[in-house]
Order: sequence, then structure tokens, then C-alpha cells
Amino acid sequence: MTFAHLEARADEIIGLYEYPRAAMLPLMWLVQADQGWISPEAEGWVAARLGVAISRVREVLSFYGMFRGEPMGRRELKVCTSLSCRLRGSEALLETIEDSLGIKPGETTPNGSVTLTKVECLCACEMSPMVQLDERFIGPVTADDTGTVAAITQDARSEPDSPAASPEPAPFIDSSGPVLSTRFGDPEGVWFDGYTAQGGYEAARKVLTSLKPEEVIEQVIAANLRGLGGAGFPAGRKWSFVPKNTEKPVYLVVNADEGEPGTSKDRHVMERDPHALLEGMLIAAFAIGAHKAYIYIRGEYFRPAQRLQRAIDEAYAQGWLGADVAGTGFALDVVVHRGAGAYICGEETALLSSLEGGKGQPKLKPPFPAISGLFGCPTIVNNVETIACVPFILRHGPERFAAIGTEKQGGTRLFCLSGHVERPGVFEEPVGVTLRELIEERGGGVRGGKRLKGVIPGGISARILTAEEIDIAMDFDSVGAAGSMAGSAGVIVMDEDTCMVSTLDSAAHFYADESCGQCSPCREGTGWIHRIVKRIGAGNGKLSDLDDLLTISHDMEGRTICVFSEAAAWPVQSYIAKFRGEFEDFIRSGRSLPSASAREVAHA
Amino acid sequence: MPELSIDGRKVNVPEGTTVIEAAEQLGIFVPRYCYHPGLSTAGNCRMCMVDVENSPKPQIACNLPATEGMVVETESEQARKDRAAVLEFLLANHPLDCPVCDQAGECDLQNYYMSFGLYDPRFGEQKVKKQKAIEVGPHVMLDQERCILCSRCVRFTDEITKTGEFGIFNRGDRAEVGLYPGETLDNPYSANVVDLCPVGALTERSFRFKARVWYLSSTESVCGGCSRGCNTELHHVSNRPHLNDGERLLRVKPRHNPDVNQWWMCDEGRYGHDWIDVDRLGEVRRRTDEASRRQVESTWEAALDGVGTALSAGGARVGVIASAELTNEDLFCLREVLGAHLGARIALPPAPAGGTSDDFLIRPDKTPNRKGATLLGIPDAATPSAEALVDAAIAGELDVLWVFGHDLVELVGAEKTRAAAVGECLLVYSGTNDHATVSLAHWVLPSAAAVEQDGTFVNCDGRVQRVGRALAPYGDSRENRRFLLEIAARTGTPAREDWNGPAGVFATMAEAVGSFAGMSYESIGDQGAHSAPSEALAEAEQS
Amino acid sequence: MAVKVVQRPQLTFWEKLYIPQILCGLRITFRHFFRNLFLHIAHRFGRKTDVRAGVTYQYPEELRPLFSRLRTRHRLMVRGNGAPRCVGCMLCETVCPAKCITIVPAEHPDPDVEKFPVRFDINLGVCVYCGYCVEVCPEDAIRMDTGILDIAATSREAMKLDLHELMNPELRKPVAACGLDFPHQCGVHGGELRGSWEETLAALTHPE
Repeated sequence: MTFAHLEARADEIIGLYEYPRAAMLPLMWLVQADQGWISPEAEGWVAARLGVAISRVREVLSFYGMFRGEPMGRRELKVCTSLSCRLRGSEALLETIEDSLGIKPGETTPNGSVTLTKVECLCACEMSPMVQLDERFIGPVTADDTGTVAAITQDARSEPDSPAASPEPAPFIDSSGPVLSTRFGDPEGVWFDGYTAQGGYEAARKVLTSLKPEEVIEQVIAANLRGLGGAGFPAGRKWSFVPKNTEKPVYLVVNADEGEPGTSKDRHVMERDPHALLEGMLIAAFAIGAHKAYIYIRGEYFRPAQRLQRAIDEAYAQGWLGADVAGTGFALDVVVHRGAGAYICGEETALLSSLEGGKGQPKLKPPFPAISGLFGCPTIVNNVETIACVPFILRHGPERFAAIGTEKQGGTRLFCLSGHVERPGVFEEPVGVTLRELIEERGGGVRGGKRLKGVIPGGISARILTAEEIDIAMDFDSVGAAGSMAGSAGVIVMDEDTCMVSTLDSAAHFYADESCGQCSPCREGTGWIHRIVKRIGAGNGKLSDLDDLLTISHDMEGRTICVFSEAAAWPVQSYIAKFRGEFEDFIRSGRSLPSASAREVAHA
Repeated sequence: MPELSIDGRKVNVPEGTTVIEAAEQLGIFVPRYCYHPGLSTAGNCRMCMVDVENSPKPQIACNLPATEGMVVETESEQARKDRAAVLEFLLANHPLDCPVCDQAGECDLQNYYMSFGLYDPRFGEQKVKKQKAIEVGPHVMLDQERCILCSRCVRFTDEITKTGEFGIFNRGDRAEVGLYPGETLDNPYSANVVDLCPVGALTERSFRFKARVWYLSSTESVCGGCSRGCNTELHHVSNRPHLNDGERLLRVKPRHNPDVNQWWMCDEGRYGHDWIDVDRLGEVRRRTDEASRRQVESTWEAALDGVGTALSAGGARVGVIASAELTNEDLFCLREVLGAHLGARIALPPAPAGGTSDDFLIRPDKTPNRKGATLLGIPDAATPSAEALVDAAIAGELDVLWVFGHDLVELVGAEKTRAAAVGECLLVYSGTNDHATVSLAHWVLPSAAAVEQDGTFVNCDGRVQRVGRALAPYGDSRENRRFLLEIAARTGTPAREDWNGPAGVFATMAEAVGSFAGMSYESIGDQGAHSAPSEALAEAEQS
Repeated sequence: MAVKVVQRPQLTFWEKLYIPQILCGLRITFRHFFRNLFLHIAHRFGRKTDVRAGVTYQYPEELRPLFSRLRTRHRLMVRGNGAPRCVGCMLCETVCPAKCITIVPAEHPDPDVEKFPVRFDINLGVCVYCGYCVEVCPEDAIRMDTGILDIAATSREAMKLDLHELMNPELRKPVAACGLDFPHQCGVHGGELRGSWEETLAALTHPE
């Protein structure tokens, strides 16, 4: 097996990074794209090119879900099994696909054409239940859509470049604006000419030619822009933490590792309005003194990454990126860096570890990334949506942005409504919109006219709210005061027939799968919780299990390197607290979950 | 220099000191797995969590810099709960291997559970299964189930040996430590990961199942494998001959010395102690028949008389080939008894060329006390080489040739050795192990090894370090120092009462030899002390 | 000083004669004698077998019933494949107050078992039958429930039990043939290591 034909491309890739070792993930992708998998010889080649021990390469290969350590099918059909898809029938869909292809998840068809895999959230919850065939998302498709299912399996069995029989998804993506979705109307995306025709890059020009970095930061602070990845930290204030007189290079890193189940927002910015992200990056980089920016995008986002790269190429060609941006003397280079299937890389320090060429393991804080982040240099990590708001702030002024929102949080958000809602989709609303308005007016209420049982307001890490608790505004502070989290604005709606044991099973499986394994409480706690919940789901639960689950989840909180353990603990605590009767009835009855995961338990 | 308070006690520490280090200065032990002062901070075990005032979450002491006015509690209700929680998580998937695990008795999971746990375990699920009893290298065995993923071994092979063998693969509770398939852990310091591993995941193959840890006695000493003189602990068993095939020394562990070897030692030195109970000389022998050169067992009385007589014959010409494996006390007695009084010419063969070395601990000179010999003036400028002495013996110019520890066949070749043995010269051999020269000697006086006596060595940097008496002399062997004094009695050398015992000899040596001036066993302690440079040393280094 | 006269009881006529009182005491003895004589004769003819003749246990034909918790001669519990359950943890050797147990452990080929004893000796001449070894064993590998009390031997050597006698309580010294396949050191082989795991493990199929 020779790699000579990859050497030139490898040189190019390594040249994009300050340290060769950071090219680990891109080189692994290069080899996998070329040979279909990453063989031991390939591992040796990557190790030699990067000057690292081969055990480091094996660590990366084994950590990320998308890297293949053995040959697989020519195509890969991924079925999403996270909560939003499960609520709309992904388990039945999976069974149907299994029967149709004749293989179980993890297996490849005998002729080597396609491998079937179960994956966690692909963040296409507005079209759930859905699947991903190689690079394409296809959804919504349920087990009853026999025609679509047949088309999907036909595509799966065909050769990779054949024309697709399965339909392109057409979910509802809001384009009413005023901040983020103005240019979302065309699914093919708005490109440089269209973007500038609508006033694009004006804000960047104004910033680069007439403002000082401190003034930019002041405006962003005044706009009350909060971090929209989930933490809600004031963005301008974070920018101000970068030391002013540092000799080290400053980096801007955009977190496009959208992974929280229930979320779907960043992808639309990158697919339909990538230049808004780039313009925001220019302004942010100027404000913090960065001349190099990375966009860390999750590995499953093939098409968004391609569109981003197209926008970046356009920007370079038009002089909006490079050594002399728009003739102002400001320099900014942007590199798209693909992840490879690990939710934890959405945590900012884990993202930096991954970008540096290793496993996505969070770093100890302090020091914080603004002081010592990527390669030990001051780094600002911001979410895609947050950065995409910045051009509006600088173009129309912070007061206008702040006025759209609430007192402490300005602007709008892209809310993804999924689950048992009549009209799932992505909706841009001011942050002060109430949860009731979102569900009943934008989402058309609970589907089939059923009653609402519970709703998760901000992605699966957020505590669940009951039907009586939905008269709250959706800004960070209001949702926080209501005992949950606005998080990533992924609103998952559950109707009266939803089984909370199954919901908890979905959450527990997710966290056990995605824990990075670095620190003891999370590594052992997530696995332990998952095993107890599986046992309950299989009909072998005890009433004392509920108290054990609560104790374990409380023992994990506050004792770990990052807040993944809190995220894993909160669903356990809130589902049991608010639906305890249902759990106790389930256990007493001795019944089991009639689902694929229960069958999985029976085999274990 | 911030001042902080830990458990109500104040301490002043240099800027940048972590709370765990500050606590150690106060003698407060904070339990830890992943923290090790010789490695970078990982902060993943979460065991060292302490309660810090005004902090809503517990903080890990290993990564928390001490600040002025910080108030830390290590024994508060909250800190105890934190520790017990972490222990419960670590023990959740840990296998019930204590009966078969070599770490039992020195295991930090066992010890911390008894000190900080003592809870009723709640885990009732199936434990995660991984691979057990994997031979990752010639010296190290890995059990993945027992591993608590503290990453000490990974950091060691990354930062200290820079060989990068270990990695942690997979994520979540499927994470496992291991090597790349097909690779072996064979760097020269591989066994240090066994010392580092707080649990029984990494164990020594040579020690595997030989004895339970609580049977071992421990003696502080210094490795005799090369001139670095890494500080060691010898673990031995004397009262259970059915274990370890009767060999008394079971294992050697490095001892912390920041000026010599930090926390480490090389595999060559660690496993270079087999000779202590294998092929040892245990009885005095003498040659009965000149023609056949047959040897029979004899007694010390006979030997000392025989050799003493030969030495004190009028005008005796004596040659001595000394060894750099002898302790300073032995060498000093040798110098005083044979050199000063009898005028013997004392040669010391140089270190053979081509010894392995690296830029870490391993030195090319594989003897522990060459510098000590030099400080004592052995060899001195007037002495010929060892080969010249052997030639002199062959030529009849010597009456007695006394060889300490060297195999003449290796030094000068088999032919010359035989020639020296059959001539007029009395060939006396003193040493620990059997080899070709032994059977050719007129008198064989078995020596006690360095681990069987108290004494001192001087390492390559001039540091005087104590070796400890871990074992009784093998069979009928005796300390060189002791039989040299008994020879002295027979040759009329003025005896010194305070030479009874190694400390007395050392005291005399400290008075007589400038490099050891002012030293005593107490002042040397367990970390050693620097000798002063000497003219002899300066000369030797110039030549 | 007043004098107090003490009336001593007077013996009756029959008491003064002594012999009748002796016979009175012997009444109990003779009652037992004739009862037992009668019952033994009846037992000879197979009658009245449900009634014990005397309290004496006719050892060794008749053994005294023992409580299950009585500490008697040791035995090593055996696994399905004939190997001892013992994993050579040496806790019994450590806890024994009389230091009568000698164990040499070795590596077991099955990584889930890992350790086993190559040599396991108990010197019954030294053992004090305290039962600490049974209490401390984590594997329930050693028990003192054989009910065997007759450990007498004609030499000190014969009082030293090794793997054979411990795994098979029926055996007494001298043991003619060593029937153990797995590696071990025993008296039959003069303390040398003999045996291999191939035959013993061949009988057991490991689930992968």
C-alpha cells in the first residue's frame, strides 16, 4: 500500500497549520477518503508525516466515531437514533431498513456495497426521523413511507456516484429575518454577489477602516449578544479577556461542531448564508487582534463544509480574506477543519484539543482559552450563530439589536422545533418569544391535537419542562430562572403518549456513548446510569434504582473537568423529579420497552 | 510568597506552588492518583478535590495555584463526600481481583478505600470487560480492567522516555490503556511505569506472583549497576525459602533523590541483581594439588593463616588487583592493610570501553565506586596496570597476587591467567561469584556482596551515598573489610579498635582522606552528600 | 467462757452397718448395668434397636454426630475441571497464627482465573484448628468441614498434608500415585514441579 500519491496534498494540508501535529484529523480524512478506511500502514504513514508516536494516531482513530479502522462498505447509511428522531419513529424505521437490507447496524451487506450504522444526533431534527447516506441527509422518513424507504435502500445499494432515487429534504426553514435568516430563502445558498448586493461586507469595511478594536468590543457588549452555542456568556465580554499586549498570536476559532440533540441552526447559516459567518469572523478577528481563524465543523456536515469552503474561496478571490483584506492592511486567513464524530468536541477546550491533533478531551481551566488556548496562545471560541449576528450589530448599531430582545439578551435566535409538534422546522424569533408561542403559534401546537406532556427548551442537556411551565420567555435568564436552560434553542416537544422511560433511555445512551472518558466521575457515571436505565427499560428495574440514579447524577455534578457531567445529570434528575410516578408504575408493572434498544438489551 | 491556610494551618509558599504541594509542606497528605511531581498535571482522577472558601465547586488541589489568603479545607464534610464519590466511581467497574493481584497491600485503591471510603457500594450492574494479563514488554504486564485511566504511564512514556508507547484508546467507559498492536514496551526505563501505576494494572513480570507484598522487608540502598548510583529500595524475604526458588532478593525499586535519579531507575540496574543468590561463592577453598590444581573446601582460619603467612614473609612482594565494586570501607581497609603496611602495589583495571549510556541516567562505567577508589588513591600514579601485575606474577617478581572481584581471563586472557596460576606466585581470589579465575586460585576467600553489608559508594558526580545491609552474607562469605582486618592481625599491621564495623572505618577514613572530611553516616543520611574534590581525582581526570 | 454442746446426728442402725449404704449407692450403677445388659442382648437378637444401649459411642463403627460448624480436617474445594478453587492469594498463610500453611503460587493459563497454587501444604502437627484460614479465604476455597477427626499418624512427615490429601479428603499418606494433572509440587514427586495444564483444561470448553 503506497501513499506517494497523497504526499503533495498532505504537504498542502500540513502547511495550513502552525504545528504539523494539528494536521492529524485532516490527514486521517485524506487517507480514509482515498482508501475507504485507515489501515495500519496508513497509521504508520500519518505518524511519520506528523512526527508523532503511532499510538497517538491509534488514539485518534479509536476516539472519533467516523474514522474506520477496518474496511467497510462502499457506502454508509447512518440512521439517527437520538431523541427527536426517536419521538417520531426512528426505531421502527431502523427495523424496516434492517429488514430491507438484511443486515444489522454495524454490519455490511455481503456484496460490500453498504454499511448500516446507528448514530447519535445529526442535528437535522427539523426533518426527523432522518438518515444520512454518505454525504446526503434524507428526511423526514418513517417506516410507513414505504416508497421513500425503498428509494433509500435502492440508493444505498447503488454505486456512490449514481443518481439518487431518494428525495432531497425540504424542511421548513424560516427566512423572515430580521437578523439571521434574511437570506435563507434559497436552499442553494446566497453567494458573494448576492450577499454584497444586499449590503454584505459593508459592516466589515466600516470596522476595518474606521473603528478601533475596543470600539467594536464595546458595541458588541452594548448589543447584549450572548453566546448562542449554549452557555450564554456575553460575547463582547469574552472578547475583552484577550490580553492586549501579547506577543503570542491570537486565534479566532468558530465552533461549528453542532451536536446537541434537538438543535439545528448553525448548519443553515453555513449552507445558506456562509458569507454572513465570514463577515462576522472578520469583525471578530479584528476586535481581538487575530489574523488566523479556524472553523471547526463536525465531520458529518459534508455539504456545509463544502459550501463554507466555496464561500471562503470566493472571499479570497474578492480580497475579503488573505494578507490584505479589502486593501486595509488587515490580514486574516481562514481554515476549515473537519471533526470526525464526537459530540464532546463541541466543548470549547475539547475542540481546541481536537484542533491541535489529539483526542477531543477538555483541558483543565484555568487557564481559560482567552489567555491560553489553541497551541497555548490567546484564543476566542464562538458559536457560528453568535458570529453570524455580528455583521447586523455593526451595520445597524447595537441598540437596534438589543431592542429586538430582552433587557439582558439582544437579538433573535434560530429555534428548532422538533418532536411531536405539528409543524417542525427552524424559526427565527426574538429571544423574548415565549415557549408557548413557539409551540402553539409557530409550531402549530402538539401534533394530532394531543395534549402536551413535556418539552425540552434547549437541547437534550436542558432540564425538561412540563405543560404548566411553558409561559416563559426563551432568553437565557428567563429559562434559567424557570429551572432549565435556553441552551442551543433546540425545542423538543413531547405529547401525552410519550414514554418517559424511553426518553431517559435515549438520553442515557447518548451521554454514555459521547463521554470522552477522561475523568472518573463522568466516565464511570454515564456508563453506570446507562446500564441502570437499560435494565429498567428491559423490565428488571427496582424502585431503589430511581434513588440510585439521582444519587449517581448528583455525585457527578461539580466534580469533573467540564460540564458534560452536568449535562448528563440534568435529564436524569428532571425526568425522575417531574415524572416519578410514571417511572415507579413502569418498574412495578415489570413491563419492558417495546423498542430496538430493548432488543439490544436482551442480546447483551 | 503567598500565604494560605490549609486545615487551619498557615503556610507561606513560593509563587506558583499548587495547593497539593503546599499541603505536603505542612505534612498534610491529599489523596491522589494522576498527580505525580515528576510528570505534567493531568487533573483527571479528581481524587485530590479540596474545599476552597468562596468556591461553589470543589477544586482539584494539583492544579490550583496557591493565592494569598486562600482558605482550604481537606477534611471538611464536603471534601470527604467528594472523595468517597470519586472512589465509588473508580471502584464501580474495577474487577474483584485483589486475591490474584500483585498490587494488594500497596494498592492506592485499597488504601484510600480504607482511609477515605468505607461506604456501602451501590454498583450492581455488569462490569465492563477488557483484556487481562497482557505482556506489553519484557518487564511489564498490563491488565486493562484494573486500570483507572490516570494516564501516568502515558505521560511517563511521553515526557520522560519520550518513546510514546502508551496510549488511551476509545472513549467513555470503553477507554482502555494499551500499546499500538504489535509494539512492545522495551525502552530502557520501562519498569518505572510499574512504580508509577497506583493500582495493579501495570505489574512487574519478574516479580509476578513471587510473594505477597506484606512479606517483604525493605532496606534503603544504592544500585550497583553503574556509576550513577541511583537510590534504591531493596525488597527481600529471608524467612520464606519456599518463595522465589530460595533467592532472597525479590525486587528493587527506585527511591526518590532529586539530585541523582529523581524518581526513576533503568531496567538494566533494576534487573541486574540476579547474581546475588546465583552462582555465589559460599565457602573458603584452597588448592590441594599443584599438578591437578584441584580445590577443596577449607576454613577461614586456615585461609587467613595461609595468606597471612605468605604476606608477612620477609620482603614479600605483593600485588593487588582491586575492584571498583568494593565499598569505600573495603577499599580503605585494603589500602591501609595491604598498601600502606605491606607496600603492595594496587592496580585497578579501567572500565571496559563501549559501555551503554544515554543522556538520562545510564553511565558507561558499570561499576558503582570507581570515583570512591580514585578519591582513596586507588590506583595511584606509581602503580602499573593490572596486566603488568599479572606479567610480574608470571615472571616471578611477585610472591602474592591478590585479585578482588575480577575475572583475570577477561582482563588478560586465559593463557596468561593459567601461567600466573601455575607459577611461584600465590594466587589469592576474593569475590562474590564463581567464574573461570576462581578455580585457578590457591586460596578462594568468598566475599559478602554490597547488599550484605553497610557501606558507602561514591557516584559519578562525587556524591557519597550509603548502601544498606539487606541480607546476611551468603553462606560462609565475609565482608572484605572484616577479613582484611583479620589479615592485618596476622601481618602485624597496627589494628584499630574503632574499625569494628563500617561506621568506625568510615570515621577513620573521613579523618584520613580529605575528600570525606567532616562526613559521617548520619550526615550522609539517605540522600547522600557531596565529597570534596581531591588532588588524586584532579590528576585522574587530567590523565 | 460458756461451753456450747453440739449435738451430732446419730447414725441409724442400718447406717452403722455401712454395707447397706454401699449397696444403696450401687443401686444406680446396677440399674444402668442391668439395663444395658438387657438392651445389648436385645440388640444381639435385633430387637429394641430404636433404644440406645449405653451412651458410649461404639467408635469407630459408630461415629458421634458432629455439628456442621465443628472445625475438623481441612479440604480444598475443587472446580469443575478438577483444579483447586484456590487462587493462591496467600491470605490464609498470612493470617494463620501457627504459621502452618505453605503456599507457592503460579500463573494460571486462563486470564480470568490468573493464579493458582502450585504447592499448598498444611502441617497438621502445628495447626491449632482456629479456622481463621476458612474465615479469611475470599474464594471459599478452603473449608474445615470434612468431619474427619482421626488425623493421627505414625510420623511427623505423615502429618503434613499436601495438595493430594487436601483436595481429596479420603486419601491418607502414603499416597501411591499422584493423580493431579496440573502443575504442582507434591510429596509423590519429591517436591519437584510436575504436570501441565493441557490435559486439565482440554476437558473444559471456554466460551469466547
